[in-house]
Amino acid sequence: MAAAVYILGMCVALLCGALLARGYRQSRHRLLLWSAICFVGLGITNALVFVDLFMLPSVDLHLLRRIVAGISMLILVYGLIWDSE
Amino acid sequence: MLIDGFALGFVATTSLVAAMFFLRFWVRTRDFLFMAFAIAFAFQAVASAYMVVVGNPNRVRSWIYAVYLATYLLLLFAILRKNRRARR
Amino acid sequence: MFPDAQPTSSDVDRFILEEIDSVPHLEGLLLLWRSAPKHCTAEEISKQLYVPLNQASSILDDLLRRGLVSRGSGGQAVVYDSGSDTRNRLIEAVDRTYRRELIRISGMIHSKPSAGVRAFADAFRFRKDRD
Repeated sequence: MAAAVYILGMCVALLCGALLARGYRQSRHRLLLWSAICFVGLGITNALVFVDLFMLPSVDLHLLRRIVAGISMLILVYGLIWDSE
Repeated sequence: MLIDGFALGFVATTSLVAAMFFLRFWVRTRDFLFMAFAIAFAFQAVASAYMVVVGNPNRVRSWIYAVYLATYLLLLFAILRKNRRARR
Repeated sequence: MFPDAQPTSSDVDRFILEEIDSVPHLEGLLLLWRSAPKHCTAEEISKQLYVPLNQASSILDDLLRRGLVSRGSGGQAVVYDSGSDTRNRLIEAVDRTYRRELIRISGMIHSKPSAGVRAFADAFRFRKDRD
């Protein structure tokens, strides 16, 4: 069940990232660029959790997960503060 | 580990900030999609904070998975609802 | 969609809410509409509207992207795209309304959520065709 939630989370985040990336290509508003990067990063984070817990149990990826999540959120907040007018 | 707590706290705080921005966007646009994002990020903040308190982030309680699932479904619902309207 | 009907004031408002990002955008569009079929460059727009050149260029880019204006052959100048009669009548109504109700229209434009926020919401539409 947990695995399914992480996979779904990855899919939803990547979907949002893809839609925002397409929107950025059309409208060039930077808010969409930063948001797209963030959602792709959160999707990668979910994928890393899945890999960490279910595919490579001997490897500890949790610090990498934290870093990717933290950078993604930092980019989003940067975009929200500077580019949402 | 302190650095893990720091990282979780960082994600919790930035998620809370993001949630507040999305809440403000919802107030201005009344677009439910922004409310869905606000809820999703608010929950991410709560879940991250919870993981700090609990101390063992790899085995969290089932309710956290259930609520994450609900927020993902809420986002998908908001996106589909927006497109159902647009096709009218 | 009744192509022969006159645009109503809610048509005008809806057009402004959907397509116009700022007051200089509206004035740029109306300037081009009134000057048609004369082409205008960003410099000319910048001078007429008293806005900096980069803002005038970005306005022209936005109008181009929305299909409201088109580029002249081989140059930087743009002209109002008068291909659609329905839209011509709509812009004429917008022009009349803006001249009569300047304060209300600019107030309406200023109270819109910013273009970036709207673009964010629009990004989640799978298909961009509107009515």
